Amino acid sequence: MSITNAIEVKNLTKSYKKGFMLDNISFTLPSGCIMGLIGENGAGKSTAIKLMLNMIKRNSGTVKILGRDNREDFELTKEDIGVVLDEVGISECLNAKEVGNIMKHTFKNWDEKVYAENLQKLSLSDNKKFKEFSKGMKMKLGIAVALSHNAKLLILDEATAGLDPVIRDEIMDMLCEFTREETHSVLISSHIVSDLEKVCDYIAFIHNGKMLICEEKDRLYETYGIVRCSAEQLNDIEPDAVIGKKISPYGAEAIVERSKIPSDWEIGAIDIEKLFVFMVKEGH
Amino acid sequence: MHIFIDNKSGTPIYDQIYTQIKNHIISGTLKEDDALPSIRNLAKDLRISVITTKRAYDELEKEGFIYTVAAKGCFVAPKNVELLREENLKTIESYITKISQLAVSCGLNCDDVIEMVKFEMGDKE
Amino acid sequence: MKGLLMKDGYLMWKYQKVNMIIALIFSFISAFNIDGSNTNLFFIFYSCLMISFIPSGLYLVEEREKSYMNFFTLPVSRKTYVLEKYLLSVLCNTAIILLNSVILLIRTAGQSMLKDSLMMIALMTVMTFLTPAVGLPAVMKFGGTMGTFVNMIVPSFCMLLIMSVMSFDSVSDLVQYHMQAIDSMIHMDFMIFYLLITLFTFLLYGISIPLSVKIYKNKEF
Repeated sequence: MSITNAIEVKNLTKSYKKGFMLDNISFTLPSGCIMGLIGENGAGKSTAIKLMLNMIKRNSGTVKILGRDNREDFELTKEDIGVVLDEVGISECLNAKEVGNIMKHTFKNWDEKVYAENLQKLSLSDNKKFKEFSKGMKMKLGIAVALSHNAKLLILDEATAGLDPVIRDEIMDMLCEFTREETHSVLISSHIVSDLEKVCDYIAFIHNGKMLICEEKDRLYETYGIVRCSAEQLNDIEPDAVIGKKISPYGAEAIVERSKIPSDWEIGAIDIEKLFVFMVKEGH
Repeated sequence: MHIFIDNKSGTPIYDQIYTQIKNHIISGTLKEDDALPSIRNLAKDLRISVITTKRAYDELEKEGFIYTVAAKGCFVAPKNVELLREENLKTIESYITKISQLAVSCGLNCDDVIEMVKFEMGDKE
Repeated sequence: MKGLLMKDGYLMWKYQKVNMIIALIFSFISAFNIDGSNTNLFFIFYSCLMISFIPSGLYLVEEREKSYMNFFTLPVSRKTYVLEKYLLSVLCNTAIILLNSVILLIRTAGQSMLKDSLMMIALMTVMTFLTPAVGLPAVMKFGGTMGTFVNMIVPSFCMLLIMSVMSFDSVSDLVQYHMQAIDSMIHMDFMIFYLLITLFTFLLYGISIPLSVKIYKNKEF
């Protein structure tokens, strides 16, 4: 029995008295793919992940992880999930070796050899206490653990925030390698879009608790484009073709839906970060 | 086999891969029945989305350049002379479109362009 | 649960070492005072108390350094997490009660104070198990400062009791007073009385477990 979807979230809602944290979010992560969850701080990315891990209670909606509802025997499902939260949460007094010992007796499929290799790959020393780790090293230890028990799904919440570009690149490399296997999937949330842009298969935008877009990255490149022209020329385009625009004294830049623009216009390629920023600013 | 991806160019990435593999096949770098890297491995090696490489391979298969063997992977299809000719015709057509556009922008008319072509091809003969 | 126990083992070693060492020192101090004076009781009871604190203390540590976040990435249910803390509590309590009982019995060997010793052992048991029975649900429900405060109530009450005990000149005076008090209040053989309150403590301990599980299951992080 093969699982076609690593994650299926339907109508997930979490509200507090002051308002919605997550408003009716739905998305699906097919097996073998990497999905980037993009949103500004406080948009609801961490809330979504916490709901998926049953750390907080939902108001409504269903979550299926690796084909199983996450309210049933979730501990069994967690054997197959590697999670790194932005608060890695390993006890400060432990060192990498002790963490390995604890995990060996916690996960059924813990692989000591792989753990040792991962520690080496990420240049983490065995004996340094967690307390003395920098933020980047804490994150790397979290990832080393997540990759050492034969997990099929990785969930990373802001796992690259606060890291320098070299480490971020290393981690993206490891994620890429992880998904060489078609039963392996990754969900990674971040507000650093450039990291996600290259390796993701799917991109989802969350803003103010709402899912703005959840789409194959390639389709986004095909659907949207950038036009650069004068402000007057911009007015010639039908308004609902324009996702967002920026007007300066020297001209205008707008992200548009390619299908709604006349064919003689020159349309450039978008980047995901710009798409997100323009979408959010225009309040779409 | 070399494949280079330019993230900044306007061409969609699947298109770049499709074109480059196609050219390798046409030029003979990839020979008949050579195995192509798997969709996943190609994606991971180039650090791009699996969906992109799948799309490129689907296009190549549709156009008859490659074939898939279940559980084994994708392989280069036998060179189809008709196919190649058609490819080259398509390329000529796209160049003609470009030439027409440029001609208009320079103020040349159809006869002027034909003159230029005759000159070029006359030399070759 | 094995992994959790291992983790708590490490945490105990790193954070509770001082408490454990002091408890052991107090136990041994009480072993060497042979005049039957009741300051020994103070040391022996206090050593039990210090050990009884450990599980809730560890919970508070985890809350403070946010290492409970890591727990959600592990294939462990909330129920297992709570049960492990209680298991740890049983193991620690049993160990210290056994140690102190042996010390007490050795010290009072040949002084025909068996009844008195058994009474002390019962009291130690009650105190050591009552503390986490109240303390664990308290720290899980209230966490942080409030939890620490509630966690201290039972032990503080016990300490007051112990202090009042010290106002007697000797253990035998204390025991006499006790027997009279119980006899006049309840008209019960005091051995049975102590057996009952010990059983009652275990009952409370048993109730505390599902209570903590319920509290922890409803907690939002």
